[in-house]
Amino acid sequence: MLRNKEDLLATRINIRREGDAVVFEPAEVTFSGAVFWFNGDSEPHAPMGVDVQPNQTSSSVQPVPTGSAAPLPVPLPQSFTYECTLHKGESGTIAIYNDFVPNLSPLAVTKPATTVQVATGGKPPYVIAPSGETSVALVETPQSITADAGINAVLTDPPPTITFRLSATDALGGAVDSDVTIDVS
Amino acid sequence: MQERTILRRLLPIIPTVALLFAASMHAQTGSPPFVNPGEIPSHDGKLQAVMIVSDTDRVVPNVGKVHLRFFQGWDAKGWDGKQPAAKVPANAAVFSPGPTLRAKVGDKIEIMFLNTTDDANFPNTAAAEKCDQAFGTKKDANGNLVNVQIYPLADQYPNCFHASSTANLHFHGTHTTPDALGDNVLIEVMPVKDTTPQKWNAVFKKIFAMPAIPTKWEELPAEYRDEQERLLKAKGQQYWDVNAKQIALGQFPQYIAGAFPNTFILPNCATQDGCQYKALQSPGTHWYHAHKHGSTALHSLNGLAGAFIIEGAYDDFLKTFYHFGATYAPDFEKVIVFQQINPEQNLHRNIINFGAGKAGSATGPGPGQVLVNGLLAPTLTMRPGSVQLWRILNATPGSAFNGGGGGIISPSFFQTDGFTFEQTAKDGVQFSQKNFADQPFLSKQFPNGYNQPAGLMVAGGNRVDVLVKAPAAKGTYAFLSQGAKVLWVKVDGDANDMPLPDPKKASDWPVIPWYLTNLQQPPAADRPLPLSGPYPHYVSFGWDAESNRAVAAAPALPGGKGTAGFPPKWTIDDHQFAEFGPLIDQCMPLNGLQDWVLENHTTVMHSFHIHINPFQIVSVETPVQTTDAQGVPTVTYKTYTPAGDPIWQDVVSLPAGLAVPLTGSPTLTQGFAPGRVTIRHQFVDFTGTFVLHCHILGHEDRGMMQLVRIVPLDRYPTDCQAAIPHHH
Repeated sequence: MLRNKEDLLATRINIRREGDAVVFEPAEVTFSGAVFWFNGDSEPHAPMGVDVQPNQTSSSVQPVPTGSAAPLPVPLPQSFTYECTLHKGESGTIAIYNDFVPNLSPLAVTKPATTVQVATGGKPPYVIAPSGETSVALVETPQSITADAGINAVLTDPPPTITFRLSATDALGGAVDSDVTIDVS
Repeated sequence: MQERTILRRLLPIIPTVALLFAASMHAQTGSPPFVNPGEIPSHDGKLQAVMIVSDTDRVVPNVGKVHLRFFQGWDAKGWDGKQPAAKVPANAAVFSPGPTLRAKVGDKIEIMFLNTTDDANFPNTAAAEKCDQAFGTKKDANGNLVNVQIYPLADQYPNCFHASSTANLHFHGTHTTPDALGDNVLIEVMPVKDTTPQKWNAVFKKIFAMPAIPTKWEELPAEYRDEQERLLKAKGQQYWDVNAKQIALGQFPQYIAGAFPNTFILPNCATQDGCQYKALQSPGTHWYHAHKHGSTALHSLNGLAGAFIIEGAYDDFLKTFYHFGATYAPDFEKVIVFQQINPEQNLHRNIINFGAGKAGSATGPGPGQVLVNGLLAPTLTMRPGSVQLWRILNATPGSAFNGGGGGIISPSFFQTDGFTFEQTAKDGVQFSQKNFADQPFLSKQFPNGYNQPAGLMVAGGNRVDVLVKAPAAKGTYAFLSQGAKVLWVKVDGDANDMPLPDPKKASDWPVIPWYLTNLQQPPAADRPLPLSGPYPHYVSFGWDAESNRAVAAAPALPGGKGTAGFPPKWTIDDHQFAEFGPLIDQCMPLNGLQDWVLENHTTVMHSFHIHINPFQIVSVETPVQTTDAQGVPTVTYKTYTPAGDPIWQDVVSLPAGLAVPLTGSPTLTQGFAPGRVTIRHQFVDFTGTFVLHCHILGHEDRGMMQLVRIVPLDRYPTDCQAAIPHHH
């Protein structure tokens, strides 16, 4: 199965001139995603040190948060600024989100808890298809210090084991579509 | 289950999510109906078409919108060059193969091919003579995430991924000229985003109306040549400089801007007597795809392929057998195009797995889901007992991952319980009566070369025609390839018991045409270069050890030569395509009849393909590790030789070689037994320069290709290395 399209597609960043200033359009990608630049200016540029000639596209780059080296695990999402190595003062920003992925089944929840996160990452808001099971409501997980954004399954009188389909897209266009099994004890 | 299905159908969700319901686990309930790709037919002896490669957002099942290159065209018969035409496919926003082209033997092909791709939408697309670059991430020794270059690493131009904005059309399976306006894959049609068919219509009509198809650049109308020069110089003087040198040498130019006229004849004669050809175009299931060296795999993964059905006596027989009249009955003929879609080339993206344990973050895009006519596991409907002709084309890049990848259609597809299969053709060439009776693939006689169970397999580039008879019992049946349900067949409706030709009855299958009778043992005079070399002629598929390649899961090379490195450097006859400059690797005299032994000196699979002339399979030798009577490891060969007529093919899978431990050798710890296929082919009717290559397209792009030339006998071998086209 193909991966999420956000992981497959390199995101295009346009470079354009506005008066005396050169603008690198802001971009949003996932951790596994990549970017490339289209140079709409009449001069060469080198965002993140990658050469791009006028009216051409650059190589593709999987950006590193912070622009050079980042200690692992990388706290995400985060936005960082990069610079053109040919022209001092020219810069752009890239926001990097966690990959939008389902959490591995089987998941477990112990009563009295009734909520379990079934997918993480991506960029909210999500478009979530109902689970099709009356005992499972799927809701957006708010971003917090301890939890990445994602999707929670909220259970109401669930059986000991419940399986349902999780189908959702995030604001970057990434998709999750998988069977989820939760063991309730 | 039923309740959940109904609920889902009622959900007001966005189209992308709706597509996700077609997931394989519930495929028959969410499965879309099977449809043949749209067609562009010939009329009155001419296939007149406009074919455009462009780019747009396309909805891909299970993924959503993906920005891809695509083929779209229309029937240009009677098109005035002004009015909007009915495009095929009508909706480019939904993924599908290119239009099916349908012609008859003897037809003239007249295709206006345009490249209007906006190369600003893709990284690494410029037609620069250098490798793509890609930067990824990795964990360094200090545990930090850092940026590193991940491509091209040790790949060297021109045997690397590059120049994907350019394209051309390869008419795979056609017997025609490889030069000039024919099946010429040595040209690169560069994109001109804003060009239109209207702009070129008048001059292309002039070209197509010329009494003789132009074979030289100078024979094309001045207005076409002048506009090409103007457009190319606007793109960069260097492109025209390359062209000017080639034109001065009497060659066709390499670079074309925006528009190219593909025109040629599909050879045919009413009888052999007086026929100007030694071989005719075989009627059957052929195909077309973009064939730019360095981008063939990526273009395949963008879906730049379609079927090319050429009708002839083979079809006449089937129509007569089933009492159809002049055309196939509706619902009898199914065109099944297998494709894999990925907007990005492999090796251009690091696979990130830092142990986060999240599904999806640890797996790369391969092996990749296999689509049927752009649909995920569609449902084809048959009436109980009915028979259909399935024309099957594997248009994936052919990646096999040692037999387990999705790029080959496995024998299980043709072993679905309840159905009866009769293979009628391979690679667009009908079976002889003997082979139709023997069914060498379905009966598991023919070794498939890949690590697959025995039976009929469809490797990348292969075509298979099968008559399929549905069971009497109604129901929905899953057709599997590589363990995945790739097609559903719903047997429903009123029974329609149709016969299958009786393989044992000679009158139930046509005699093979005169130009496809068995090639005889070649005479010694018809030898390729080097003239003094061993015969039969050996062509060796291999890989090189290179210490500067990043070694990861590197396969061991035979004979203690170390490891192949990763990614391997693919070679044929120990060198890559144009590795040492311009070179015709294989040169043959016109009408030469030769046996070639294709050896696989790697431990992975390869598929041999040569343009212009099909070949017959003389033998397949698969190495098998055994032990001798003393218990010492040794190798024997399992050899297939045809019980009847050698099968015609244009893509053949080469069994993997086998590394074997050696005992008693003072220097080597390992020996090697190559896989081996012997073919017989004759180089008739057309001189010119073309290619042979591995049809695992990533291998082709990265070096596993050779230039091939056929020269007139009186110019052999004098002209073999003369004026070699620039093609990178």
